[in-house]
Amino acid sequence: MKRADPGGAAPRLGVGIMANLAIAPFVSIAGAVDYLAVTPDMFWIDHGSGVDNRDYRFTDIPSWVNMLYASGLPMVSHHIGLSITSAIPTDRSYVAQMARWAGRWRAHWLSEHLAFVSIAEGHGASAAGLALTAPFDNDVLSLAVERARYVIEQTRAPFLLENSPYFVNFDDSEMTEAEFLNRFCADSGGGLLLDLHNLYCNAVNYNFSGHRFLDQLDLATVVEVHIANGSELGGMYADSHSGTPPEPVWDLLDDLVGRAPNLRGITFEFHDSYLPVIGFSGVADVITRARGAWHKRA
Amino acid sequence: MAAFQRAYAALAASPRLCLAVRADPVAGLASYDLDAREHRRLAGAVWQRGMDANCTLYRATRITALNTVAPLTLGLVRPVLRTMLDAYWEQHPVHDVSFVRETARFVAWLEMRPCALPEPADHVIALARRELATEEARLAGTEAWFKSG
Repeated sequence: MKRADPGGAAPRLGVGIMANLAIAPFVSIAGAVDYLAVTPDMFWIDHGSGVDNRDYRFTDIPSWVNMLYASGLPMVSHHIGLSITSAIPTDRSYVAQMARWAGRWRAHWLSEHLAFVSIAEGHGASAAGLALTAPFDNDVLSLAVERARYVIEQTRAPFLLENSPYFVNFDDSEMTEAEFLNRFCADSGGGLLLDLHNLYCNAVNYNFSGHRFLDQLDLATVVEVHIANGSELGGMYADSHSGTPPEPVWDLLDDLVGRAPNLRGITFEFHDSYLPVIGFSGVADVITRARGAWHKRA
Repeated sequence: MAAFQRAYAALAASPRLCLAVRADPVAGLASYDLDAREHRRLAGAVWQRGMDANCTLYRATRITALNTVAPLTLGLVRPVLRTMLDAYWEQHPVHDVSFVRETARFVAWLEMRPCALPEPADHVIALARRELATEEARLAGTEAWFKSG
């Protein structure tokens, strides 16, 4: 039986870029990119769950929001604050803000990372200080599925889970990462944001083939792809968004596009501090090459 | 699972705790209500080379907050920065995601320790207060802009 397309009615957008202030002059050029991927958490100030009036928990940062008004590009939301595998109650106020933001900017889909960034502390929660990947166990999967279903219900938009890089490997996990991602999609109705550079990081750090990993995934669940570059960190290869993607990531992209029938977009991620290294011409080169891959899709 | 996540985050935040767990896993993890599998997993995790990367990432995240709001202050205390941050993080292990709240807490902490600062310490504290006040004013302007529609 053919499974449902997790992208729903979302259009095929093409090649986009992760929004940051440094890139504003580039994306303002007509046709430079096809869409913006936006991390909404960087566009607002979160005054904390203790704020009584939910309308004032989240307030805009004008300099960032103005960039969105100016761009006029289609948008997708890429969140960092849902903490989808945290063993804490779902932050419903945060999910409500996800829905408000998606409605305001007509986000074609929303996504979040497979990680926890909040931990239980007394009767509340506190920040872990970094994103950590939990073991690929059934109870973690249940948490992620339940939270994803709630987000889909509240936002009425497609929801994607992004595979994360991890620096600690729990090799007695109850399933493999690929099995976890496949089951997440099957059980939640969500899809995958497949970050090919995160996959490459894990393949380098744990010595496996990224292409074999693709073979194990249900590629019909892939709605968006991320490409990026990285660097060495404490003896590991890390996803630092440091410029033009390395050749193995392009190879993974070429391998994927023909096998991912529901792919809607390819997003280039780079950190604004690396703009002096790559330059706008370097960014344009990445977008051009990614468009070449996009046109090879099934 | 909550205790496991708390303990894992604590390890990622503290190379000292990682070393303690390496030396004596039972004592090092005693304050967390872990089942046998969780205990075994974390006792093994501290030997993985990636735990160093986690500790580095944690520190980068926390220092980013302070460096965004008070970069000149951090420059002034550079000779003692590492020792100072180790002590600050030891005393305040829970990261505040609000850059302003995190920096306000750090400035208050500095004010209690003038002897640990490079001379003239009162200038360092005054600069820290000014950088914090500037950021607070900037955000207040943001709020005013938002409420005015």
